[in-house]
Amino acid sequence: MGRDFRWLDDDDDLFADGDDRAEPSRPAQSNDESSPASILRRRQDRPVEELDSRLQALRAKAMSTADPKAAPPQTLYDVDDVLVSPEIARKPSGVISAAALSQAQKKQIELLQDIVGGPLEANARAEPRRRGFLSAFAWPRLLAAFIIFAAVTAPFVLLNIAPGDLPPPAFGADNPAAGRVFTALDGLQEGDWVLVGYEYGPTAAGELDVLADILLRHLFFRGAKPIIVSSNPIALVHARNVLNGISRSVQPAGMSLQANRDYYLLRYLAGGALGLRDLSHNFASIVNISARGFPTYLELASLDEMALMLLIAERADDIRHWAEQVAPTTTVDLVAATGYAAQPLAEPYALQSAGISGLLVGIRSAYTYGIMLQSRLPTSPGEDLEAFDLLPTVTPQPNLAAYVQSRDRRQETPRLQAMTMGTMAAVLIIAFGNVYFGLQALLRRRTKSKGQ
Amino acid sequence: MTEQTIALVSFVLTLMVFSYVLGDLPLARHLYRLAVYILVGAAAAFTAIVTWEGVILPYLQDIQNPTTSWTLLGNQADIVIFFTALSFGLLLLLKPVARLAWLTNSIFAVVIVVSAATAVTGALTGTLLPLLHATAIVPAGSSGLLDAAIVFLATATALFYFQYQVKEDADGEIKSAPASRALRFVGKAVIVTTLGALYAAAMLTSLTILTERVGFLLGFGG
Repeated sequence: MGRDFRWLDDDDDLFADGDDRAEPSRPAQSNDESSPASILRRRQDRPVEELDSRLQALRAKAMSTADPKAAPPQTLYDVDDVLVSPEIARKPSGVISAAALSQAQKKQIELLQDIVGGPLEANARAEPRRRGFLSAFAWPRLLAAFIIFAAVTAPFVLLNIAPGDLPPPAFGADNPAAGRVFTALDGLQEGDWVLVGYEYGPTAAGELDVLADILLRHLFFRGAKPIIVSSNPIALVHARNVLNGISRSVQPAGMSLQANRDYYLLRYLAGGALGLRDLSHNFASIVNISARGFPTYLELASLDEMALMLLIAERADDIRHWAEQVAPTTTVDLVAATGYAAQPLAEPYALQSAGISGLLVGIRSAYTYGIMLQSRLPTSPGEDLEAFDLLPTVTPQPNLAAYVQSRDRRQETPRLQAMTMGTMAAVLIIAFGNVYFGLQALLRRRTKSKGQ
Repeated sequence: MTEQTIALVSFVLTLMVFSYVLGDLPLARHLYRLAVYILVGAAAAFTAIVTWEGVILPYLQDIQNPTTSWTLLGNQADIVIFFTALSFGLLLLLKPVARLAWLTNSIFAVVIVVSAATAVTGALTGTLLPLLHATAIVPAGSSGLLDAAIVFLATATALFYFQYQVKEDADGEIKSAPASRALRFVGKAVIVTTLGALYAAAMLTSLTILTERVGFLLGFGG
């Protein structure tokens, strides 16, 4: 612990307070004595005790990470992504982030903390101590959770709360990428093959099940045959549940979905991006095996025989993998549906049709899509949609309308209103937190300057 | 009956996860962890089953039948590929033996090189070139030009933020150039704004999932 430490702050004139003595015992390693590396070698480190508490905490963290005795966390190749982080076992405070945020999102947050200054000071102060029952509650977290929970619950129990506007009945000029998804699916003919990339598991089901349900129903409504693949083994199990749910919903109309007749659930694509590349190049062999390991007897030679490719993905990385490994190998259009978390990184691929020709995002898009799909039913009036150039078209088979009619729409509106209420509550909490901690930092700085 | 049981289990598990907000209370802490462990355990089990059922077992059956082929190379090639993969897998099990680490590392090297080659090829043809092409096309009108200028400025300054260049002046003082500081400041603002937007988007996703769970809890038994 007696080693000296030098902290480099990138903006300030960092080296102004240091000593410029060169080390006589060290041989010259560079002829250019004015180079940054040479300058750095000539600096003497400050003693650890002179560092402030934040930097000492950072140093302690770095030293503990560098401990060779500490075993690195074991990760399972290609399996780690579908599991919750193994950090759960040794880092209780990070459990929520481990369960709710992807590895990429956590890295982004760490970068943000590095840039703007993270909670290192708070971590340094957080020493284990015995606490009473009442003090064991995390009061700020409890209060914030209560406010958000109350705001989200209100639209479900109080009928008079209706903040904000509902999404429009059709995708307009402000959202052309979503409109292209609807147009692509609505242009399918009976018997068309559609490759469906199903890249999300139970952790994203609360957001993406709505989208997956409505898109699959649209495919069945058009008489198309989805061929479902995934590079996520849990997603295949979940896809089967969603398809069973659709099948149950149309049973009152005397219909049902049957695997290897109405849809095909193919084997798991191991290896992540490698698996997707395998799908592109060995499509004929991959479509021969179902998810249960049985032959499908499909005679499809290549991806070009698909009428459309539809991707439903939780993570931006999955969208990128499909845009990189699958889309460039075929002329078939790829449209995608994803959640809000992946939207910022997925949009560049869709806005200029750079790999993805259409993009549907989140529950608001699902609401609009549902109204547009409803307008396709032979019994729909359609007068509200004339302005959007979406007059009802001929359904391939009238009985297929059951796939649209049987959709459960009871929670659509309350969920959208709950989203609005929850967002408002979150914004208020964040604003309050910024003001509170900003004032606290100002006071601390003022106290410190007075002390000096 | 089965559906009711599943709904009841879902209800209990949801409450167990929500118990996290209660803080560091002994019971709440364990309930939350238990729910997460169930998720991890179930995910691991499903992964193993799906991999065995959908990948390994069909391949084993394929190589035993001379008339079938998993790849486009024929059954004989399938057998060679299978035993190569099997030997690679067995060699990876030797990882704890320090003296044979070179062997395990060689296998890892093959995997990493193939993955990197695939990723780089895909990144070039699927991301870099299409996005370059899309960005290079400046839409007509002054707003399009402004958008293009903002994209260029944001990209350039964000990249510049990670450049650490200083120089020593005549007094021996080491400083970065004022222009460099200004560009890095803009780059820093771009990065913080971007990451803030990403975090806000992640919060929207969390809220969407929360609304689904709240709707489920309130509708349970109704």
